[in-house]
Amino acid sequence: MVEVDNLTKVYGDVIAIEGVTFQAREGEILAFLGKNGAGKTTTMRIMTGFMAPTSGTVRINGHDIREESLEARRLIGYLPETAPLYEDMSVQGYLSFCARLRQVPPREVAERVDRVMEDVHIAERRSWQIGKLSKGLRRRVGLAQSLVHNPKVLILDEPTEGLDPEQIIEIRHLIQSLRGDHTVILSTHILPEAQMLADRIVIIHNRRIVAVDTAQNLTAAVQRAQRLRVEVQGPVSDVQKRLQAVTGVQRVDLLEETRMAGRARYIVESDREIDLREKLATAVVESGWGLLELERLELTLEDIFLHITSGRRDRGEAIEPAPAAGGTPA
Amino acid sequence: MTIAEREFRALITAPLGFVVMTFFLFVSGVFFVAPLQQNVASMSVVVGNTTIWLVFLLPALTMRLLAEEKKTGTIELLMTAPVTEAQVVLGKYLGVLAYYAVMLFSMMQYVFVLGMVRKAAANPIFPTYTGLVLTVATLVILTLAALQESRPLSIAAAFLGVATLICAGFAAAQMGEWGPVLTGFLGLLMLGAVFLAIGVLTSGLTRNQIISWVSTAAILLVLTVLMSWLTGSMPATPPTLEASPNFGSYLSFGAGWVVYALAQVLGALNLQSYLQNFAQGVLDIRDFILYLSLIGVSLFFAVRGLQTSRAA
Repeated sequence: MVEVDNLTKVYGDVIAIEGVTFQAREGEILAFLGKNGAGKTTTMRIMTGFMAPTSGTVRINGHDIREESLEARRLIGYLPETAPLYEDMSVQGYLSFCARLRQVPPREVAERVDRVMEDVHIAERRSWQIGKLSKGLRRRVGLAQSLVHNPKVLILDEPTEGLDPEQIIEIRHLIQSLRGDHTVILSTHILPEAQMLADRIVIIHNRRIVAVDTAQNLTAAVQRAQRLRVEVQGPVSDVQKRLQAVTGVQRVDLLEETRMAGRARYIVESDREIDLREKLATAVVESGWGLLELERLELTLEDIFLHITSGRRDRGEAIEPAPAAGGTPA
Repeated sequence: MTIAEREFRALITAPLGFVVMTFFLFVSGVFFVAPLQQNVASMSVVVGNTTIWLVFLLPALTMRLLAEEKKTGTIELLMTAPVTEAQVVLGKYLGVLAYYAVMLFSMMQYVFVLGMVRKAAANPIFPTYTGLVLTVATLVILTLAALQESRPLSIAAAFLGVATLICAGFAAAQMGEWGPVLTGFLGLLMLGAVFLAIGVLTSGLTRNQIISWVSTAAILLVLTVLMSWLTGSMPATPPTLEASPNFGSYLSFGAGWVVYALAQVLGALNLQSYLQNFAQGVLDIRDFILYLSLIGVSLFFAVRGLQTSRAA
């Protein structure tokens, strides 16, 4: 259980975060979602006791991070934005150092280190020097470091940042396997990642918390329709009519600015629950036109921000939503 | 203690440690051999002349301690682990102090060589040759222990180290010089301990290693060489008043007292002069208190520095 209450941090005359308040329940995964510079790292650094807040409190299982700092810190595993690795040490040596630093009983150190190396799949590199590891492997050692003392609360600052897609999936699986035993708070700027991993999402925008809710509720509130982007080679008005005629399609918008040399892009809206991709493809191909592109548009962080910060239910129709970032299959 | 062990191991296995150790042995070797060629066989020459080099060498050991952690972000690991700032600083300090002790330990060879040169012992095998072999064996096994992170080897190294020290004791006793040898080493250890504490302090105040090195070396230079030079050029006795004073002589008498008092203060701050006491085999409790309080003050401010960085 992590309780963050009314945190404010001011650097000189720059306000980094303002009135940040939220709770993470025992055993849940909480995603901390926000753009770069929104205040995610600052909040996490305060939660782990690395820096003091200007005002406000953080409690880890009831221990105040300032007043009972050592007790609170004992419960935390932390992966900072840049993994804190000693490049001159071996993987195993480094992890045993971290275990002892976190006061794992001496007799259990070797066992814990072995276990955590298995968990993050670096056991075969145990005697490698950390400085010689690739970025993905380093990130895994960083994660192992935060897990080695089996902490109650795990705070991960952008755990998948800088990894290739395969590694991202691996790390996500690992994080999901922690659900239940650990309270996990992770930060990310990738919406699908938050949707996929987290029980609840905390959205921080312009130094403030703007929403705390489950992924379903957040997206449902914003996205009432499913949107597809279709690029077709063919006469514009005919194509538009044909697409409109497909059952289930609610509206078709032509993206005027993409119109060139007989091809154009269209945004097709349908009900959120149904997948029209196959029907649309068939319709286009049967009419003898060329189907150049067909993509389901994910809701982006931008869309949610726009929605929440402006308080609008309808998004501006002129805005073409970008495909989801992060390269993850929806 | 975990932190101390890591630092110690890092220094033994890292290139930086090698470089400093090599340079240290080279310099002390020169000061050992040079007097021998003039038929002066004594430890005190080595001890006295090595200090000035420690001014430059020891900051190189301490410069990375905290500055590098700040730069690479590993400080986040230490500051969010369940350890206090004092434990972090003390751990770092003890780690580097242990390495310095190993550097001094490698100087034991000079004691044995000195024993051979003087032919003080009836038996050439013990303690001098035995001691030399033990010194080398200790250093080799210690390095291996650090590289392989092996506990049995560390214990073996510790035993060999103690055996070496016992041999050194015998060798020094046979030369009839165990007093100066003991206090010489003790003095170097204490002086180095002060240097290292100041180094830890500057390393904690910056994230740039070069700045830490330069400022530590500068402080140490002021405390040793500059102080010697200043006090050397000042009167060592209080001024006296002429028999029939006029106004001018009152004035110069007053000025003389100011300079004299200043010389006393600066002299008290001159760390090297204390080492001369040690090198000659004089143990003065006041020297110890001065050294210990310098270490205490430096480390205290280093801890405060870390605490401040958490709050800022």
